[in-house]
Amino acid sequence: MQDHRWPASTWTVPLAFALLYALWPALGLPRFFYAPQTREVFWHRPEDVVLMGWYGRLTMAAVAAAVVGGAVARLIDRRPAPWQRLGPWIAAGGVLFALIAAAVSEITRWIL
Amino acid sequence: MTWEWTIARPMLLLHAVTGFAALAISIHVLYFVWLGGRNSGAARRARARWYAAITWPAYVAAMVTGALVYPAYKVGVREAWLDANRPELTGFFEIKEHWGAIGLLLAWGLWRYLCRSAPGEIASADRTFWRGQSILTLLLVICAAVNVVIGLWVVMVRSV
Repeated sequence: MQDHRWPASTWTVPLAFALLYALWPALGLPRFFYAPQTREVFWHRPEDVVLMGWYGRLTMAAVAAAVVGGAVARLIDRRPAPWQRLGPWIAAGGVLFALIAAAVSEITRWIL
Repeated sequence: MTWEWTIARPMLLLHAVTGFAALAISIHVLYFVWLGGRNSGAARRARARWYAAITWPAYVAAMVTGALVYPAYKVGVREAWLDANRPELTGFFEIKEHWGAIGLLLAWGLWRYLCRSAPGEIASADRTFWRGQSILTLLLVICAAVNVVIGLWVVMVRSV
């Protein structure tokens, strides 16, 4: 059976990237790769709804980490990752987060 | 009468048929993914892959027919009546749209995943993998079911 150990870089690099990306504005550092205008394209919100700021930022951080962090992690460590085993859980978590974020967004806009 | 209104009702009927088909097929995927976790489930896992291969085309068909209904709905139903009288239904409709888009990506991804991940070798030996795959498929069924229920609800209140 295939070795299912998880190479450390495949979760440490994306996690570090996500935390840095999400916290970058709060750290008082120059907003080098933080793109609020891009967030607005995907997460349009009315002016009076301040709740969505962190949703958008964390969502973008997670997506960016999955893409960029994952690519960097694969460059660092090419051992076979156990995506066959934990892949469905990671995908289900991402889908569930997207479903809840979309529902909360529309509930705050139209239903409440 | 413009073309949007001419085709709206036939397209709405097709939209309903393809939406129900997507829900029914995705329930079949869930059933066979769940049964495929057993030691003797190789044939069922193959059935799950086969049903997954036709789930996403059904989703695409539902989305295309829905897009053809949308101009008439946007002008004649939503802006003309729904936003002013039943804003919560507009909200539920928007949730349906988001979940439909997520469900389409999920349906395509799940098919590719079932094709490439050799679940036959792993699923029977690893319950973590099998449970995760079942939950992922359950989310697909929930997306399709929410789309069908909210779509029927909106149509019952106000239609094109």
